[in-house]
Amino acid sequence: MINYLQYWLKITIYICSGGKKYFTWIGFLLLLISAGVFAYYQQFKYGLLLTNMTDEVSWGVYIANFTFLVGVAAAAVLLVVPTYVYGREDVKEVVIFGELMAVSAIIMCMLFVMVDLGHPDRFMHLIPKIGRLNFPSSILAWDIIVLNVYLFINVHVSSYLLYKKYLGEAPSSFYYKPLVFLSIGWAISIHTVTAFLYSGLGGRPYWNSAILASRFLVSAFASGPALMAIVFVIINKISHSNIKPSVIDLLRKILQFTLPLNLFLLFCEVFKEFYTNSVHTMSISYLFFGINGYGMLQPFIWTAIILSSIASLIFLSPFSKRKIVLIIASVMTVLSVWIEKGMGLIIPGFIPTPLGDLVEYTPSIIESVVSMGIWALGTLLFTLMIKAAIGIETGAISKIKK
Amino acid sequence: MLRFIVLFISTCIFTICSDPTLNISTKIKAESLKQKSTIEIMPRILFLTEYPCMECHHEIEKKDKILLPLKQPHNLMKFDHMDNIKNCFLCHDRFNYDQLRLIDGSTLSYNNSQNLCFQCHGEKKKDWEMGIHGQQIGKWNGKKFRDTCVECHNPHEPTFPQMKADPPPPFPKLGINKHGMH
Amino acid sequence: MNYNKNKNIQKTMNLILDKTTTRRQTLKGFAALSIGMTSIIVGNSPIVKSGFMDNFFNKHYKEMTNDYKKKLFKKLIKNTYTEYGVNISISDPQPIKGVRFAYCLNLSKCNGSRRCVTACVKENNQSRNPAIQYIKVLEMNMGSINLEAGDMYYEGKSVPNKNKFYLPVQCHHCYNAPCVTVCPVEATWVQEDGICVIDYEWCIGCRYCMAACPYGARRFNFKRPSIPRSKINPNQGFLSNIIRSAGVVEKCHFCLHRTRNGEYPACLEACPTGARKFGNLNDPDSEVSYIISKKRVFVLKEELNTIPSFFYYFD
Repeated sequence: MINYLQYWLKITIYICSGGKKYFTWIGFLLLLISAGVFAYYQQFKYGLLLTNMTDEVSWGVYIANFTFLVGVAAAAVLLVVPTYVYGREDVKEVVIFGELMAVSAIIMCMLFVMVDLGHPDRFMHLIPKIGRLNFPSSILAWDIIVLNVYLFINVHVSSYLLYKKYLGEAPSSFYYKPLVFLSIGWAISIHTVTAFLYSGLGGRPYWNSAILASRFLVSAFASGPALMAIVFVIINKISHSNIKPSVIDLLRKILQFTLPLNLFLLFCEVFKEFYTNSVHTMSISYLFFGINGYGMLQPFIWTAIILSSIASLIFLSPFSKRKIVLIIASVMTVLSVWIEKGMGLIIPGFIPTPLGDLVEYTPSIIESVVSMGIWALGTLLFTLMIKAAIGIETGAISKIKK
Repeated sequence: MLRFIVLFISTCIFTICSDPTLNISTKIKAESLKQKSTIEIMPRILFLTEYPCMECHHEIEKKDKILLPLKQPHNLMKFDHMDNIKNCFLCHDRFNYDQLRLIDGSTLSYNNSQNLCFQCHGEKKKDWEMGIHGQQIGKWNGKKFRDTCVECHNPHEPTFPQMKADPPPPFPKLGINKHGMH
Repeated sequence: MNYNKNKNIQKTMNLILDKTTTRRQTLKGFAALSIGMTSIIVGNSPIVKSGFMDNFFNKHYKEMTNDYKKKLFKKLIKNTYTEYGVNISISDPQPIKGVRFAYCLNLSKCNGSRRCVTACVKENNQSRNPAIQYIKVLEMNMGSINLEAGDMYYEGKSVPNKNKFYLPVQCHHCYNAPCVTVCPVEATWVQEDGICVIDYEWCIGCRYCMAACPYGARRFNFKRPSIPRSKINPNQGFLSNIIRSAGVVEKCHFCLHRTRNGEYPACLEACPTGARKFGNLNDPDSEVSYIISKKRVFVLKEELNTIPSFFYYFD
């Protein structure tokens, strides 16, 4: 017990020490977080009227971010599988980083859902015995369970491995390997369940398509590795941990496959809507071409498609082997998937409403500030966890005094 | 083997006989037959302003046709119903203005004026009697109140009048105007 | 050894906090700071003043005993009196056995007067600002029932407009309601007489039901509803028209505080043309049974298999 407390104390000390750049970064994130907290306080006090959500468009940028981040969390599986199934030693060193990214993404997801609720003080109603969780029939209930279990799996596995590394002992397979194999299937399931949230609704024909679950997974496997590639290149630059280039190459190879596939699946969806040309195409027409001159989302979706196409071409070419090109292409990927999965999927599902009402949506200032605050909080958590993980991996934090 | 067949058949019979839904449907029918709703038709005479007519019309006029426009207090009346007939005495009893007249000559009180309308508008008769034509308020399982035709349809100008609708819902801040109006 | 370890921890704490202090003081300081901040934020919030946090440990409607309901209703009545100065009564009428409600609407008669909308707002204590209206009247072109081409913002100086017909839409109280399937906390469900109800004290405001409803029937309270004191309807039902808080979903409930006592819903009584008919489907003498057996009724979005209790017909 004392060992464990000492472990946490050492981590805390290590996290609180660093260079100028580190503290600038942390300070910047804390600034964003405090702005977010202040904005959320306003929203809590006055109600969701401060957002631009309406009866017609009842889900906005909070749920859009939630959807995107579940994908990022699911993408941790792309590091777990090479390590534990194919036995790649180089990826084994970084699988912890992927799991920690999943942890911070899931925490961000939960925060996004909490700020979106009309009555966040009643969240206890979601807990099975204390409240009433509509388990088998409501997909949102499934989502809550799978996300929490996934969070638990990742937190346990990463903290167990790190603690064992700190102690200088070899981890015992029994305490983490079964959970790791469970997390492979579980990661797929969290994103499938999130997709089912949308695709099961008959009253929203834009979402009610079978391909939605595949699109979600493929776009998650595009945005996740891109984000990881950016993070790994940065880690290599600023810390003394040495992530092998073969890991980044693996991520690049994954992106070579998933990003064009993502575009293809989007094309399938677009074809089906425009070729059938039924009344239900109003959603996708609005997204790509606007209605009656109102087209708030047009610049977003076209940017997303252009960025995605350029990024695919870059990844497919040998230029992407260079670090700087890789980072640019990854940033493009993350942005384009965020737009196409977030604003480009959630908002057009509400336009038109089931009764033909057309109401646009753009995030209000409060919503944007709260979202930025939550992203900053997730990034801060991720930064601190990565710093601690690197410290333990490189031996800077260790029980054994050198 | 035989024992199993007997057991199976008896279980089936037992299940069917004790099927609760079977009992409920017959019960509902019986109860509803007991609760027959009573219908009260609002007496029209209470709303007539110039009734009884014979108070002013002491003598029956000799002519068998009346020309429009009428004199006070009926001067505001406009006639726009069966224009080609223009014979007041088709519906009003010639010898007793306090009554209405059916096609066969028999008279009818103003309180039952719907029977006069139903002579031509037969398709509305069953609907009105079942309470689905026109407004019927009260209790859905008890006493209901219904009006005669003339509460909504002026018998001389029966077209249901145009109304001014209540205001529309507030147009959303980010709403898209899809019809080019406003 | 122990003495050294304690000293180490002391040293580290000093390093972290950059001043000489004892552990106890630090902990006390943190505790005081956190309690102070939380109390300032929470205490000042009007949400707390309105009793937002009062029902932290409340029960779901289905688990409430009669005693619990009595206490809860007393509390709600007291809260309404403190906030608005109006004495109200809260009833909780149970579904009548053997009754299955249905609503029939004659599209040949509806002239788009929107009297039903106004009457519903008056009856059900809905927010006036932002205006919440359970019923939406769509002005449709003759020859099409494409809801997406309808217009609900028509001006209506003189209705009915030429070549248009009017289609009012409200909650259809579906037998297979998608909103009931998707609610994560079971705050909405269909009762035995077919009415789909919401427990306003249980709803967490996630708005999944609003995304799932194929008829756009649900409304959300984006802020605390503002109802002028004089317009409050004091005859309230717990599952129907109690004054809701911010952040819950609400919708048409067939005026169950009236209909379960035998009265007609407010919208039916306000309709000037008698286009609306309501009653018990299980009663062969009711208006709705006659309409369904004799008239050409249809339902909206039948392909979604929601099995609504709301039927439309042309005469």
